[in-house]
Amino acid sequence: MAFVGKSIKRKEDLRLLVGKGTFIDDIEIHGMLHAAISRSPYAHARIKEVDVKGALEYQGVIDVLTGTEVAEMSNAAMQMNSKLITSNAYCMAIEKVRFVGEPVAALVAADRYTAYDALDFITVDYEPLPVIVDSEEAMKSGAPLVHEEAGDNVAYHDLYHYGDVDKAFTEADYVVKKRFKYHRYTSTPIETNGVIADYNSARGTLTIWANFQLGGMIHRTLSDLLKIPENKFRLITPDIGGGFGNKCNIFYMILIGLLSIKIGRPVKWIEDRRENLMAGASGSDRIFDAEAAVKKDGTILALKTKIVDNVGAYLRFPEPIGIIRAFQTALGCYKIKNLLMDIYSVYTNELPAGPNRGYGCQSFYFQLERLVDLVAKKLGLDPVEIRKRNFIQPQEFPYTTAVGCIYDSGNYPETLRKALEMVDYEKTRKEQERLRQEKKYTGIGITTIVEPGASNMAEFFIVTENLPLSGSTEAAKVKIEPSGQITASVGSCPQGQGHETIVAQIVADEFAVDTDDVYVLPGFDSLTHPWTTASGTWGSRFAAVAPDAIILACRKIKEKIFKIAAHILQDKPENFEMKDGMVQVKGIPQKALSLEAVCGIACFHTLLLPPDMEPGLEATHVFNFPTVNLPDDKRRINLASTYGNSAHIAVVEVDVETGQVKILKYIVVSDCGKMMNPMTVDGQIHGGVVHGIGGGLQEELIYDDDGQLLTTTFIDYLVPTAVEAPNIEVGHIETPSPFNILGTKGMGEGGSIPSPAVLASAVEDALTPFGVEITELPLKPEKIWESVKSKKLRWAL
Amino acid sequence: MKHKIKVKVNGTVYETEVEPRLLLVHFIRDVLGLKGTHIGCLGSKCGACTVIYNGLSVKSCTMFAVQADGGEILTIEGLARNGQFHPLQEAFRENHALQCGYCTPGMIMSSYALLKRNSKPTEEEIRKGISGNLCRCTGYMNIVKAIQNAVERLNT
Amino acid sequence: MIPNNFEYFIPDSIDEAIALLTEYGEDAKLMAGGQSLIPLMKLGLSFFGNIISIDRIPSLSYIREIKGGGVALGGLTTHSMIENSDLIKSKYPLLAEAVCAIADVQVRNRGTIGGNLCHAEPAADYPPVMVALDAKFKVIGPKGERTIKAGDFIADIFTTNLEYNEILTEIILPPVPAKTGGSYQKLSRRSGDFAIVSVASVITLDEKNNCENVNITLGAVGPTPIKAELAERMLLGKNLNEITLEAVSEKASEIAEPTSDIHASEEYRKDMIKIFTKRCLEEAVKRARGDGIT
Repeated sequence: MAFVGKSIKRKEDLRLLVGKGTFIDDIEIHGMLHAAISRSPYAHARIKEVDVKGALEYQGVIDVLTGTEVAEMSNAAMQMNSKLITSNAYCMAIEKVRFVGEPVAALVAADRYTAYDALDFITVDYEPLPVIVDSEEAMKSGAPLVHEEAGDNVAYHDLYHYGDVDKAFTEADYVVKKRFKYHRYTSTPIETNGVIADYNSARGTLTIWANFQLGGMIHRTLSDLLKIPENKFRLITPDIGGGFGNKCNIFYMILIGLLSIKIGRPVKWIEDRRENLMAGASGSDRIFDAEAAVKKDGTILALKTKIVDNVGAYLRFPEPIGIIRAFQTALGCYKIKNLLMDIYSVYTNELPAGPNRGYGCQSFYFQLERLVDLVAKKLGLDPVEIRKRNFIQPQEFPYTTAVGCIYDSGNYPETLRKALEMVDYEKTRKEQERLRQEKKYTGIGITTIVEPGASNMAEFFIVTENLPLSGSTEAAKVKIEPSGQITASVGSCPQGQGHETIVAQIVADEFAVDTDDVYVLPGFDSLTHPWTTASGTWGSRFAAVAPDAIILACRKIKEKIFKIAAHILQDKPENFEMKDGMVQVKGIPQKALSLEAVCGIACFHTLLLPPDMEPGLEATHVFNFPTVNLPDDKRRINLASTYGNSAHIAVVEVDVETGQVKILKYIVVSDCGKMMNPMTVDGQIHGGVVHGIGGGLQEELIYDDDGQLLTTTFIDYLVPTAVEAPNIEVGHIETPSPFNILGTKGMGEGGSIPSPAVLASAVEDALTPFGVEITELPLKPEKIWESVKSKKLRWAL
Repeated sequence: MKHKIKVKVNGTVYETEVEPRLLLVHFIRDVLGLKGTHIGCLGSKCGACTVIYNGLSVKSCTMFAVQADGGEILTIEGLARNGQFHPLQEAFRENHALQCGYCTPGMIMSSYALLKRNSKPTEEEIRKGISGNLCRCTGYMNIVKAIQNAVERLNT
Repeated sequence: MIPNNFEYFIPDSIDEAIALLTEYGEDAKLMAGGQSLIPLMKLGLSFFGNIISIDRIPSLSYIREIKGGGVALGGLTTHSMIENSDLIKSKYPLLAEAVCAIADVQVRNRGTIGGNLCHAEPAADYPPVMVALDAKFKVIGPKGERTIKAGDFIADIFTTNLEYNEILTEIILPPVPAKTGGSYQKLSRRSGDFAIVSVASVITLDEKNNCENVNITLGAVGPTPIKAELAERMLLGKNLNEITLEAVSEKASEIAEPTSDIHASEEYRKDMIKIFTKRCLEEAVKRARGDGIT
């Protein structure tokens, strides 16, 4: 292959580097108005009255939208909570607000400054209600109810039992038990959410532009909720300034769509950063009460865990998938055969939770990897040894986990071995000992993870039969224009992953042309791009499912091309190949036609085509990953398509006086199967790791007891700068997936999944002389300082 | 009351009237139509709005357009000359120093300013020099490499 | 996140600026670089109907040596100018250290020392340094010119002892005696963030390495910078072998009045001020023993 596998420079860069990207706020439509949203200052309150008179009279304001109108004009989004019948989710609060920042009204003005000014003239009369922010408190009887109709604050509860956990615990030599707490943080893409909606009342069509990750997946839902027939609804995603799961909120598209429908003019809304932190998206905070059943030889027989997940004020789509998704790799790299998960998704008066790069996996791994470290300590084993003893072995692939997930390929011992080699593990341990004598405290953290790619849509079906979804699909379309130039498109909604380039690499290889000869449609447009109801760019799916869709679409066309050439040149189709832009008989370059010539016949001189052949050279292919399935009677199910893996090792130094953590070394060995563009793979890893470092050390959405968010700006929400970000050494292993053509695996989230856990592990290791145990995040300097102070130095140095 | 201002942007002089509270970034984007300068936070932290004003990098969300009266601004659109990338832009491309591209214009303008005042920065100086620009995609490593690469390009 | 509407004035001289301040009183605000003011306006935390922009007044931006020793800085001197000044780096390294710790390059290109001092943010970097250096501020108002000692300048959180129509025009740094060392140490979550705690200290030694003079000023642990006088007295006149910096730092921390917020608690800050005072004094002493430059 000339291009796949190489670090080809990106096509996207040509426009992005000169400021000619088309991001949502760059788009201007003639007659466009600007919206601003009035939001609740209370975390929990009844809405007595929304007075918009003043706003309507404000000069420059065109119209206003209130909750009552929203309830008439749109359908409520279903919350995946079977207890709820009426208290469903709209894009605006109707009778009650349930979190600070929840929209209560919106207005539209000629320009954005006027829209902001006029917000002061919307007055809302609230009756504050008691607030609940702690998830465990919210579960107690007598707690304020976030949704009265639900009867309690448990949005979702289920017990998932795989294998025989009780039996495993009776067979155990040891039980290691621990409570872990994972905090709330978010991904803050540098571009905030934005929507432009344009309703054409003459045609009854609605076009929405949005920097949204789930284009195809949400198309039907949006048309239902907006009451616009699906074939009259067009969704376009332009260049997107980062997603990371945070751009999966459907409600702003509904709100702005309704404004445009009401007014009959295009309306634009751009979120500001305060709105983004308060009401955009974040991962949930989660409490694990976990137990591991262990044999003397280090074999982990079972994992039992009770999980309390704070989903905030609504089960906002796609929750509670944040828990279910993590089942994909709940047992990590290990051969743990028995698993019990008692899961509670709990309502509180905080921001509704949603995807946050890693989506649920990073907290599961915090639990699992910390528990494995504790097991190692209990048995007096090195953290490397305990992992080796429990790894799934290379010859056991494809390996079906206790949950039913089919891990396609991997060589976990090799991934870890390489990481240990890169960090020079023995030397680093010796150095650690030496430094301890000088009262300098360094630590080594090791985590090994499996990274899932391309979720099986049946993960929704497990939660509720009201969502009969299944499969892991992606669509691609390839067209050879009458002139011979190639256009390709795919159903993804890229936010920087370089899909235009990678799609071009794949297509160029198939047709033996240059990547410059392939034009890949940028972004996503439901009218012009192919898509399925799983399409979008989310859950590390592109590399798992898109390449096959593209390649098979190309091969459908190639089949036609070879038949045409065979027909014209009087040979057999199977004797032909594409080479240097020509269609030639293998080994006989003189017996060839140019692609342009073939197009000439396919598109212009169609009577020369083979009999019964359809003119034109275009094809669409929809790929469904072959190993995804439906749950069996024990609810075992393959929840993802591909399963990459990686090992992260962090070496840190802890200043025990101040609690500050310095990262001395950070190693990643990644196995994502065949890498289509190694440069972009490394880029994804770097970004994911630094995000995980942010989450592990300093990023936190902090609420007070009144449900007020205290970290509403980038002054207080601590995104790492270039000074805090370390250099990351990356190594690669490639164990191709046997289940797709190229052997590629999804990997976009892998960097951010283990990084908080590995830092916790490293800090705990550094503080071994003090006996500090790390069971919570973030690793705030003050928390470390407090832990150190509360322990006595274990031995004199 | 509106104020008359005269500003040179990427070599072209613009004369217009603006409200005093109009932020410079909104002037650049909405009045002049130069969309390459981006808004990430409006709160003076993310640096996506960085432009060069009178030779120095500034956050255009933390200036009013009226403050720029009589001044000279360089935005990302003014960096490439006659369709040729500036060495920084080439270096960013070569080193995969951008992914979504949203922070990129501000990051490049900060890097441009850094190299103007320090033509051979150390890695530490580079990281400190771009500490006013947040990126969520790249983890900064390739950006640092790109700047180091640009130093080589500019010195040959 | 859009500022309120306001009238905008661009005075050509200090006198014109003072006249405007006098005319508009409480509804007027001076703007230098705007790096503190504009973010507050965007957050809706600052509403003034009249903004008086003084950054065009030509005579207010300079760094120059004073005859007889010392350095004068104009109120509109930007942080960047100070950061890049060889004069400041050589004569007042702790000021160079402090200015590098302010925010980031872009903010330092616009922000001014006068604006920063007048904003009187308790966790700002200049105030403890100015007090530690015994700086004096020249202030001009309708009644003429007066000088305020740095230690008397900041009255409370975001409040100075300036009259509503006075302007800080010059910062005067005194000459530096031989065998003097100074340091500024700051604890923050990230590069350029506001200080959780900060300490500025200047120490002058005699030929026998006795402490001839010392100034220890704590920052971010009270509404104003706090001079740790009792701690200073512990050191004054003593030989550095007689007294531990540990004890001095412990004393210094006793006067700190930190509060708790989401980034750090009172207890943590109390302990950190002790640790950073010690680190600051160690560095200052090292420099005093060295080539005698502050």
